Amino acid sequence: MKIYILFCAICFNTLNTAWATENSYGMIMIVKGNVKVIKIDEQMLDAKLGLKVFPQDIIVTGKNSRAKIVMSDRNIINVLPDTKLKIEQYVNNENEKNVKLELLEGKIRNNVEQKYDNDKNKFEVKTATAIAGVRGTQFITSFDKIKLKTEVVTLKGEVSFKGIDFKTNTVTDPVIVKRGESSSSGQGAAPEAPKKIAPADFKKIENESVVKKEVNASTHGIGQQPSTGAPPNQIKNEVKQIISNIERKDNVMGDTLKQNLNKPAKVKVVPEQ
Amino acid sequence: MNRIIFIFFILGIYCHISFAENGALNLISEMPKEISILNLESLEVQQAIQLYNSKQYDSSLAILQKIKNDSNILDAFNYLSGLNYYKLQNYDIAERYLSEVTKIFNAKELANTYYHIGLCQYHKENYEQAVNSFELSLDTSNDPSLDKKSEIMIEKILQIQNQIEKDKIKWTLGFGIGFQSDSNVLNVKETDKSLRGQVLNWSAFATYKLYSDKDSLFEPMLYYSDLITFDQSFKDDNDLKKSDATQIILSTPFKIKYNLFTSKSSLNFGYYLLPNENNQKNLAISLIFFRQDVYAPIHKDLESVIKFIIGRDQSQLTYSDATDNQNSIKFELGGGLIYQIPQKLNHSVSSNIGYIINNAEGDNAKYNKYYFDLDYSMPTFIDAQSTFKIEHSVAQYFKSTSGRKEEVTNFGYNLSKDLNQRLSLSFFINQTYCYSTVESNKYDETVFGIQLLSVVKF
Repeated sequence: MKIYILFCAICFNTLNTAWATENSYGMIMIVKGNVKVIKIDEQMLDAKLGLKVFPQDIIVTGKNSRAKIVMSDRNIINVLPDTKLKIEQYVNNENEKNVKLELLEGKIRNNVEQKYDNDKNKFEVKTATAIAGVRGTQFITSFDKIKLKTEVVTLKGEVSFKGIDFKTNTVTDPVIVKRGESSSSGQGAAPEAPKKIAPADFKKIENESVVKKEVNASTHGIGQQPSTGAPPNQIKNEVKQIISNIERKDNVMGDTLKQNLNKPAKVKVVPEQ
Repeated sequence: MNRIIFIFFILGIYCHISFAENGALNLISEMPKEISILNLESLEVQQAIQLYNSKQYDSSLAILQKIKNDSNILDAFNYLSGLNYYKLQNYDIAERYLSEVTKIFNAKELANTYYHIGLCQYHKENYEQAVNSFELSLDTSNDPSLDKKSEIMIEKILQIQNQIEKDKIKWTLGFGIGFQSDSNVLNVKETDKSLRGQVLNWSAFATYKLYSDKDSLFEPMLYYSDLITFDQSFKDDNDLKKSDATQIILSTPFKIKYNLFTSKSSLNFGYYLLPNENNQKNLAISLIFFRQDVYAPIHKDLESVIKFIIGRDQSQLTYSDATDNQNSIKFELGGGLIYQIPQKLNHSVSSNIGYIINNAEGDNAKYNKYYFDLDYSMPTFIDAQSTFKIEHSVAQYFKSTSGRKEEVTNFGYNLSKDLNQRLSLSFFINQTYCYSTVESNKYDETVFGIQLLSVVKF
């Protein structure tokens, strides 16, 4: 019996050590400003490059502070300013893929490389009012803890977005938020129907939600505003491109040089004197 | 014995906790030092690197197989195996080996590892994953040349993804409506009668993508436009309505990219209709013309374009006797430059210069013309785009008995803004001066107006 107990103890310790080394974890790749990691024993650490984060850790970013965490399966979590994020569960092995992030407040952007079916394999971001589940996508989740409002913006792929009613302990029917759409959910309410985001706003959201390495200011030009890329008259330029096939500068009907878009040729009716 | 087991058990738990925490604490106590995973003390690693550099990838892999069980150089084994398999275009295996290396966060080779993982994913057409990997390479790299390569790859993938998105769209429908006030609707010398007109215009087009791949596009288009002119008090005036041309054009543009060149060819068929004396629209001219544009980059911010048009216009019976008879084969040859001003987003300058031979039958229509134009476009107030334009042309009517020659100069300003993803509003003002050797052909004209454009894609 004693030998049996000894054997069990050895096995437990071996498994225990293996768990510590093999368990899924993340690594902080970029830190900007004031970022802390609260460990399971409530010890608070300054986040620095290379710090490993494990399930049950809470990542806290201050004002104008950001962090980029690369998980062991190369899923990326961008933690944006004024955010508190708990890595509730992060299991990713051959038998099981199950990720639960709890957004206590603020905003995160996830780049999910792995494929999740949202059935047996789940990747979920949970807030006090909603759950966002994904299949393999990029999306932003934000939670306003004062208004108790959760918002999801899908950058790529699609997100299944459900509201949570804590009084009845039930979840609402999901809405599917596709690329370029957003939806929000208040406490106990079903998420609103997804809305299209204007392309310029979408670009802006996409650019602002990524945590990037600091670059030398000189490479971007002094005083230059971050660009959204799209010119303010994209539609006109596009139409001009389409119409350019039929443009001629000769006077088909004695026309003068008028090149205003969509202004047809003007006929010169005066005969030569 | 039980006590020993219990102590052993507790010790185990303690060891586990301290492992996790110490690992973390060690890492944050100071900035992590970079280490190289390529252990050059190992002869096999050295040989594998040499063989890799001399492009003997199979031999390099054979050497690496000898050290695959050596745990001291496991990281070097994974890294070099990954690089070799990448070169051998075995992207799945390459990615698997390289992924092992990403667990060593302070490896000197980490950025290059992410870069090669990105390349593997790119070749497997996993573009979203590839962008993530190239971004991680940028995050972890201290090498500007590697950064540049990653940025180029990200740019390339974004272009591919945009193309994939675009390819899903088959139909593009456009609709335009506008109003303009024109000081000289007929472009003639001022008389006692006011020539000011208020002009409403509307136009529509539809394109359908019949064929597209990453280098070519065939997208026919049907275009229609019409004008309704009133006098300055918005009343009908039969004289002023003479310029109300209706255009119907079918265009078949084919665009193809070849290396750095982009060619755009289109065969176009069209009808122009004009009001007759009873104010009913009659077919005035039918036309067929071929247009060829070739774009070639000269520098990263500078592009050139060469344009050639050949076409046949046929005046219809009603108009064929006039000296304005346009029956002819016509040629136009032009070229231009488009310059995107570096460091200044959406600032561009473009210019064109060209020559036209209009060999029409009517003496009043036959001419040779030189033209030049220059545009400067820039973002401006209210988040709109401003375009300043100057155009000049000289037309010599060589069959004209009076030696008719006309020089037309036009100054224009256009302010455009996208109101949303489907709607754009423009305001424009143009001033034109025409100097002619024929006194009655001299004129000037001021036009200003607004134009609303809508585009829907599905």
